Amino acid sequence: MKLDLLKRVCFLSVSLCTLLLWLSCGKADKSPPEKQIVLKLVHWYGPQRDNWQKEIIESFEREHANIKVGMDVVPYSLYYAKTLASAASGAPMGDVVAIDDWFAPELFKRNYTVDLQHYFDRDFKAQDFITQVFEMCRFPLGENGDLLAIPFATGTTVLFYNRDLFDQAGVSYPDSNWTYADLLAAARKLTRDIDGDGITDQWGILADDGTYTGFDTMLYSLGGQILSPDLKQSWIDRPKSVAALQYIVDLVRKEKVSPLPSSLESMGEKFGSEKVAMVITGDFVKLALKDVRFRWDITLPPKGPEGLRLSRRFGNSFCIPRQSQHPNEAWELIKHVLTSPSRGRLNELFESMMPVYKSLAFSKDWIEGVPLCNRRAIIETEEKYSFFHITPGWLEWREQALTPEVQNAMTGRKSVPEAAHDAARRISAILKQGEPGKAPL
Amino acid sequence: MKKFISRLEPFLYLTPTLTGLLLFSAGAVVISFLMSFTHWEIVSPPEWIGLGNYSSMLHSDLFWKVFGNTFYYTLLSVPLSIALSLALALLVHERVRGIAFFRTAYFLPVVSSTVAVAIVWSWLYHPEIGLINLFLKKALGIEGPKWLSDTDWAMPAMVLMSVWKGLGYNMVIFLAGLQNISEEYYEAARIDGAPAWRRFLNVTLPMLSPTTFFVLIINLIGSFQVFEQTYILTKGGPANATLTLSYYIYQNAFQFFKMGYAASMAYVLFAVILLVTLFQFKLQKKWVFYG
Repeated sequence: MKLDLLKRVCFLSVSLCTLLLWLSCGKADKSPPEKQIVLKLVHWYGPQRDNWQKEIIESFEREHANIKVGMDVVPYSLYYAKTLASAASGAPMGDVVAIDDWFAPELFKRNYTVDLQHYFDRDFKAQDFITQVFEMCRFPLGENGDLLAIPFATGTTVLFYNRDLFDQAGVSYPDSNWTYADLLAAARKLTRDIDGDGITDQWGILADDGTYTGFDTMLYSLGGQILSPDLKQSWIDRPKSVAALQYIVDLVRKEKVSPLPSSLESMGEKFGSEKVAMVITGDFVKLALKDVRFRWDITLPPKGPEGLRLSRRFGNSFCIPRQSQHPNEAWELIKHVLTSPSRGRLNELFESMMPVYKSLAFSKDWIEGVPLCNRRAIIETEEKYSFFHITPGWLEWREQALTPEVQNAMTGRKSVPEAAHDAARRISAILKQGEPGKAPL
Repeated sequence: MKKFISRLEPFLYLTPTLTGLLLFSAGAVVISFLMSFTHWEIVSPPEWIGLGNYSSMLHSDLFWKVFGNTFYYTLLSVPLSIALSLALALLVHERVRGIAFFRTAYFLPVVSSTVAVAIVWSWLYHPEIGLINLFLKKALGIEGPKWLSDTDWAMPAMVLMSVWKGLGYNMVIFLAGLQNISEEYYEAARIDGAPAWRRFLNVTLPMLSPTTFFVLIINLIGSFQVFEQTYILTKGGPANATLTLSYYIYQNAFQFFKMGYAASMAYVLFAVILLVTLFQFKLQKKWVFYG
């Protein structure tokens, strides 16, 4: 009887221990796994899709086992409309969304994005970045605005020159001491009628009619301003701006050292055709010159008569839309893109644009990236001379007021003061119409 | 009751179509009309501003420029297109060997994509390497204009491409009209001693007038709505010289996201087309012969 009881006790004890052991093991096995989070990254770098997948997403997923990243590549031509439509519908376009500088203020003013300042202060030191670029991610625009996006790639406006054409004309290459007077003198020597038929075959420079950043760069360096410092009205009709605009228009009409800019060809295409010896434009044009047969290089844009050297900056950023369910994880992804992309593929990943994180910008991988050129000039221009003045409604005032009026002046339909006056009136009206309750003008 | 149900029956079958029509056509028309009285940037809620958009439009010099450009395009393209397509129809009306080939060839641009055609023409118009300027220089010794970069030439260049593109369509309609003219009229005219040009003026043109009227109305409406050519060839430039109403509406709606303003312009465009068409219908009593 006793033995039977002992057996039973032993059996019960063993069973209980086994149960406890099983439960304890089971508990460890059954503990809810860390919740899998799926992020969506949206950008327009279509040709680099595979590189982004391999060099950024896969390395990020290896470091963050609980996060999966999906990538949505939207063609650039549809990007702005899609982003704005997403903002309007309230349906998140993604958790990390790339935005271009010219439409960023449209999203910022509509309260589309999360303020990233506290994340940035927590995880980064400002001195590790080319901080000038952050200005374009702040809203209201300026140093005191909220940080509504983080720039990851940037560029600025530089002077491209065709070394072969300079050599043929016996003109020394432009350097950092060049002024706009030197530019004009060289352009005169480089403008040539090669076959002697009375028609210019080679132009010294290609003027910008306001379509690209070369126009802003020239105008501001020559003492002009398109917008007032508070960005609320246009100052292009002020005497200094009119004089600067006159210089640009004279390149086409009086000096005849530049062809009339054409909407048929971009600045890069025209420069790549070897018909112009110089062009002042965004450094991204270097990508279009990757396979040209002539020798070319870039340098700082020239200085104005008062020693002023300014260069219009541009750049791409990442934002986290307010509708994102995972802002913290989205920030981790932004951090990764900003600081950890594969060094070997750095130049391709950002399509040769300069990384904003200094250790990447100054890395051999970017400085000596293809196409090889004086990329240190881009860094110097960015850090010392670059400026930015994009406002909400930028596309409208640029396309419907500034460029058409500059074209009117360049084709002689209007005098420079008249074109400047009309441009200023329309730009100011467009800037004002952003106020609530105002009907468009 | 049975009678009532049998009367109702057709409407039952029409319900899917009517629902679609009400929702996607009539509904959109009503909403866009209401939208034209608002300031709406898509992201923020619409704000009622009454006639604000219409008033802004009337005070905008750019709108009047765009309006003028659209009329300029219409005045250039419609007569040119009608005259050339009628001439072409007369040519391909002849019963000669291989005429089917020519009819097909002239119709080919109509079935080609406007985008592809515009891209090809943009290269033809290239001031330095374009075939047109090369021909002018080599064959005639003339320095051609800068076409799409020139404020004076950009619109005629656009018109030329549009006329070329639409020629085949008008030609086919004219051809059908020509084939409907009874040979007896021509015989009678010949017996009366009328020469060819007289037969054209006194027989062909009057008998073709209903067809001409149809072509005129279709071309007028199409020319007021010109969009693809502007979009691909010039984007409205240079200096807004080719900015036409439809493209301007598109820009305001889908680039600047000023939906209310764009809607108000769409209604002005609608009113203009309606008025011009009504005027043509009024005028047709004087020149269209339905004999």
